[in-house]
Amino acid sequence: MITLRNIERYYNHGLQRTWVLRDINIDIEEGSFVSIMGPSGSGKTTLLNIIGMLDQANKGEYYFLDEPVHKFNERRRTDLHKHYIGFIFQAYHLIDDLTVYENIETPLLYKKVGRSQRRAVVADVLDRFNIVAKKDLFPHQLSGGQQQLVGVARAIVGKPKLLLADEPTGNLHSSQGKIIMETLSELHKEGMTILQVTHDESNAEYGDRIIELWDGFVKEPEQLDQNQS
Amino acid sequence: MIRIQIIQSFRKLVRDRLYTLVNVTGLTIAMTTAILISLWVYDETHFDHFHAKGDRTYRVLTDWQFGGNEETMAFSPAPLATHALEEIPEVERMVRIWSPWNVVLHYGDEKIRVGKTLLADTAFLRVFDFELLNGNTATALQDPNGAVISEDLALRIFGSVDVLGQPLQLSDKMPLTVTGVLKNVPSNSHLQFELLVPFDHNIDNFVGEGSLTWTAFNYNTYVLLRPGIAPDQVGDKLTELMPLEEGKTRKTFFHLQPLPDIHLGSGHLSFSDAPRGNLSNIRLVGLIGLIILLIACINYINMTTARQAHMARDTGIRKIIGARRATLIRQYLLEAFILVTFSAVLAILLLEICLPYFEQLSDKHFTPEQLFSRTPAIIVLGIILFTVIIAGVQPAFRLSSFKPLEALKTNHWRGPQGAGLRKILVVSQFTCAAALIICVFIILQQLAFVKAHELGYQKEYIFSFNTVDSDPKQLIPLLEKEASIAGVTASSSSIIDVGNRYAGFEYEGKEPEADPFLYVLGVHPNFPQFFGLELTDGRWFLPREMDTTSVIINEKAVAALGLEDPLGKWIEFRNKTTITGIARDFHFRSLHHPIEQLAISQSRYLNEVYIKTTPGNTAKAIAAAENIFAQHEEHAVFDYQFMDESYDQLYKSETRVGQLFLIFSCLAIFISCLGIFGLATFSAERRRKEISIRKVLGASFSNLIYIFSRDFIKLVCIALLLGSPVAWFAMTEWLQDFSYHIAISPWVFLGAGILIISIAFVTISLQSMRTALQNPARSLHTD
Repeated sequence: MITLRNIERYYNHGLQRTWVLRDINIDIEEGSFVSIMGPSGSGKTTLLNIIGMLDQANKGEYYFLDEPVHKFNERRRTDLHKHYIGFIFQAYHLIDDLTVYENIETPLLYKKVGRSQRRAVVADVLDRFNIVAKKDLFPHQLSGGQQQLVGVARAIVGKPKLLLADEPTGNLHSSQGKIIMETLSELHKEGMTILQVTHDESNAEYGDRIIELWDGFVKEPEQLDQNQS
Repeated sequence: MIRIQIIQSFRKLVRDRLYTLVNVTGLTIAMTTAILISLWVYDETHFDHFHAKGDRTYRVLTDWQFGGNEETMAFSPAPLATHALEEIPEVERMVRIWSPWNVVLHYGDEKIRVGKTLLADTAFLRVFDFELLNGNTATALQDPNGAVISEDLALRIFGSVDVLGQPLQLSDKMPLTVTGVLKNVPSNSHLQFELLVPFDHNIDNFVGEGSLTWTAFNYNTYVLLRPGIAPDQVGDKLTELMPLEEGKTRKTFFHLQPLPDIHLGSGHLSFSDAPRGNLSNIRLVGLIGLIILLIACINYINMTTARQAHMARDTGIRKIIGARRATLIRQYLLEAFILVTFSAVLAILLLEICLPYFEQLSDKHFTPEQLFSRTPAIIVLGIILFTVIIAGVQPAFRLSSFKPLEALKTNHWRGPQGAGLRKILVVSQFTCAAALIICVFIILQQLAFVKAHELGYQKEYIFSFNTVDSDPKQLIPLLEKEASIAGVTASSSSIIDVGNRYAGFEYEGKEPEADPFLYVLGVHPNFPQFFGLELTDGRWFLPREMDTTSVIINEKAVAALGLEDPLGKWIEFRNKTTITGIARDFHFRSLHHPIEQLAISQSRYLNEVYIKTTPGNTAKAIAAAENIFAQHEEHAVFDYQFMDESYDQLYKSETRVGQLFLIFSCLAIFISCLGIFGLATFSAERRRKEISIRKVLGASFSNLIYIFSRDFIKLVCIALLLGSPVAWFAMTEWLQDFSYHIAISPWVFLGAGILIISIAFVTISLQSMRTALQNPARSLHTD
């Protein structure tokens, strides 16, 4: 589903160049649940953003569903990401002015889904996450865990093929975090491809594969295997 | 989607109460002003547009030579119309108009003063589309004794408009029968009247012999041309009609002025007493309306981009969950549209309240039909659209342009984003406000100067009235007997505004080529003493009843006539007179004009009576004068005016401009201050942490206020520097209209500067004080 070849991301500071990502080669199969781990500043979020098409690599090739994303212009990338990718953030990033219902509904609006279909899909999602009773509340009236649940609901309402989660439990108590992780795990079982950035070993265990980053490089899988064994 | 976007926009507006309040207040005031000004501008530029045949109706203008000057006037001789109808086939109809003064109608024992009366040819109601409520357009003026009266006048006399066939009497001269009742003449007609009487049968009752000849330029003549005729060629043909003496070159020419141009295109005409529009005034007022609207738009732009830290997050999230930029632009424009439309609704409500004051100020009356018609609706829609575009587009494009990742980084927005543009916009707002307030100061100063100016005669405790049938010479001895009256005199026209000029007269020592003109004032013998006029040489009139052989000229006249030794020389107007005295120059016209050459002579034809009273006796004096007036004037109504009031009337237009500028500049300053109040609030929000740290480090209260206000005050100072030369330039131009005016003093700029800076400082301090007084622990904690 995702093929990254020789991806590089760097910033120029005057004459100096700082690399965030170097020589990244990754393949991700459809239906997998991958955790990206690594210390702060190792480039995890940048990698996630490049895969999510919010950021662009300076060099290298990126194929998403066999399409050469690195060759696309902004508009086509937006289209691709709109239709295939859902996002979850550490800080939830719900829209303050919108109710729970409307927050979940908004991606469908942008996809120009008809009203009656929208209603049905949103009702399904609300039901599934057990937040029907909260649908008319505004984000600030919810707990962090509930907000993140809405965040997950919003991310998957458009039925994306790929779900990207940037430290989804980072701001949550462990019990709330657990609920979120179980939700993700369930989505994975239903066939959703999930890519999460996390610090937390226990969260990584929900996935079936770990990619570890170190100063912008991918740590060799052999090393990883050794660590595990 | 639209529905949801509308709901979201409303929520945002309710949540950001300060933002909404500042914007709505500013926009409502600005839009009210803009709508009023647009209505006024539209009205001024659409005078006489209601006549169906207006595109082929013209007024005859006469170019002639007067006292060596080429002049144009709207008066032409009476035979022109009759000859033109017979001899020029392109002419379909002609209408002559003459307007008598002081018309009083009698109905039974009642005397009713009529606003303005026109004697007009029968075609009048066919050329012009003045609507009749009662009566027949074709025949109303056929009856020699017919009278068409306005609705107002009908109600005043009869209390009803259903009055066809009712008898009236015009002074003692003519019995009339009402043949038509006219809907009140719209205020956007250059012809204003309450009473219309046929010209042909009645003109002889008013004007003397010889007044209907080719040499008496007394009448307004209107021409209706057949369709498709060019006015120029008709003008030439009209000129040809005028008989020319053998061997003389033609010095008088006619040309045609299109009906719709009359209101705004008559500023250059001589002898015109009708209120005239002034295109440059219209442009100026229109420009100011636009500026006020722009100031409110700037508030919107500044307030919207100032809170972009918040908006950016919104944009970022929406883009990540799939919003296109176009969608977001539409959303932000929609927000602007909702805010502006809401303000427009409030503006219309506010309009309801302001309209009467505005009508008073602008001397206009808008009928309900005018207000609830298409034009105001288009104006309001136009203003809404304009405001949305000017205020909404920049923020919409800017806010929607953020890259999602950067937008979500909260620290990214800590800095003063877009501050450069905001500063420029604030400076432009205050530049306009400063320029306006400086203009106001100068206008008020000039008006005060005009009112206090030494005119060369006394005008205090003097009132005047006009006689119609009686001779002031008979009234004067009676009035002088009254204890409450300190003095009485009379003249042929008001000393405040002498209008009569003579040219083409002979005098001793005249160069063959010379053709000067003189203003002429006919007076009662005690006139110079009454007003305290001074002589530089010679003597006043002989103290006998009629000293018609003496004439007094002023110093300017000595120069205009080119006389070395004027005393004893003769001048021949109607009869031969001798110059017996030179009067010191005094202002006999408004201060717009320099003092010109004047001749004062005794005259049989006096109708302006002046009465001097003493403090505390005015009421008694007025009562006494009215009593004596009533005994001698059977057909007139007593109407007096104090001289200082009449004098102020000369500057009515400037007084109005001053009032308008005062209002406009207050609005501009208020809206601009609203804007910086909003910005200061955002800035206080943004810098709360900085201020807390400074406070912890030991900054004093005044220190904080200084730090906080410094940036804004700097902007206001720049604005003052930019606004001052603009105001100076504009006011230098404006003062040119006065021959006697103040010199613009630097104190005006200093005063305006101190005023504006103080207002701005107080506005900002309201906000900064609150921040400075906050407990630093709290804000540091929350960050």
